[in-house]
Amino acid sequence: MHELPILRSIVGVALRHAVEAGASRVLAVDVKVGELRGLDAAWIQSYFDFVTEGTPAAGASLRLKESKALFRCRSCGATFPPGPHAGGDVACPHCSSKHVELASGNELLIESIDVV
Amino acid sequence: MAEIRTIDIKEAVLSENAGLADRLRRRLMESGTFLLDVMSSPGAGKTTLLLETIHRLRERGIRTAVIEGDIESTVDAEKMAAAGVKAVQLRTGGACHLDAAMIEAALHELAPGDYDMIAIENVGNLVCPAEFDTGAHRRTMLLSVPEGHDKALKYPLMFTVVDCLVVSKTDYLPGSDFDLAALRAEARRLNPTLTVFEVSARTGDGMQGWCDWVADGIRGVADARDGALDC
Repeated sequence: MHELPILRSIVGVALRHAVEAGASRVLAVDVKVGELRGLDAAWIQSYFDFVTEGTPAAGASLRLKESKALFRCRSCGATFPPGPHAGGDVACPHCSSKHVELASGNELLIESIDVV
Repeated sequence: MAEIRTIDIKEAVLSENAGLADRLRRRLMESGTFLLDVMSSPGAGKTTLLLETIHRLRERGIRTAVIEGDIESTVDAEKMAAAGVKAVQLRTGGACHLDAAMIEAALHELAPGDYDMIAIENVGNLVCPAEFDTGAHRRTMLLSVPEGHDKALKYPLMFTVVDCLVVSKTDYLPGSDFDLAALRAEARRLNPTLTVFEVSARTGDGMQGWCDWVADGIRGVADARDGALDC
C-alpha cells in the first residue's frame, strides 16, 4: 500500500522536471531501487500506469535499476557485500575493523527521465 | 518528430516528505522536544512499552505526550488518556503508515514546549512506516519474542532505518525457540550501529537500559537547544 505514495512522488518529480525543461511528454523514467527496499517490480509498474493516466507521462516506461546491498569500511574504505557472519558484529574482511556502514542497497532515487 | 532528450534528475523519491520531516526535526529541536518514532507489527507491545516507559520517565521528571497512529479506532489513545497521558489520535483511514505531514498536523494539537518528549506510536506494520521519515530524532522498532527471530530477513528496510531495536515480551523466552544471538547477528548485518535492548514491560526486565537510552535522546535534544541559544 505504501507503493502508491511512492509512485505519486516519482511521477510528481518526473512531471515537474519535464515542465521545467519545456517538454511535452515523458517517455521513460529511470529509477534506482536498493534491494533492501523490497519493492515488487510488477506492482510498481501497474501503480505507475495507474498514477500516470491522463498525465503527460501516460504510457511512459518505468525502468528500475536495482542496487545491491554493500557495506563500506570507515577505516580502510573497502566495500563488501553483507555475508553470513558467525558473530554478532559485521567486520571489514580486509582490515577487520568494525566501523562499517551501509554504502548502498537502500536507495530510492529518480536518476533521469526521457522526454520530448 | 521532436528529439528525445534525457534529463538528469538524481532526486530522492519522497524528498518532499523528507524535507518537511527535516523542518519538523529542527523546529522540535528548537523547542527542546525530543521526537521518538516507535514502529512494530500489530501486537508487538508498543502501547504497553510506551505506557511503562512514560511512567518511569515521569519519575525522572520527564513530561511526555503521545501521537497515536491507527487505521481505525481510538483504543490506544483512550488507554493513554486513562493513564493520564496526553494523547493525540491520528486516524489514517486506511493508510498503512504516518508521514511528516500527519505529524505536523498532530503537533498543532500539542504545545511542544510543554513536553520533553513526544512519542509517535506508528501504525502497526513493519513495511510501510520504514519508508516515511516522520521528523523523529530517533527511530525505534519493536520485535516481540512470539513473532520469531527471523524477521530481519523479511523486513530488511525497517532494520536499516532504525537506531534501536527493542526485543519485547522477553518473559515469553523460557521454553521458546527464539534465538536472540541469531537475531542480533542478522540485525547488525543490516545495521552495524544498531542498539539492541531486550525488554519485558510486564516484568520490568531490561526497562532501565531502554529508559536510559530514551533519556539520553531527550538530553541530546535539550543540550542542542541550549547550545543553539548560547550562540
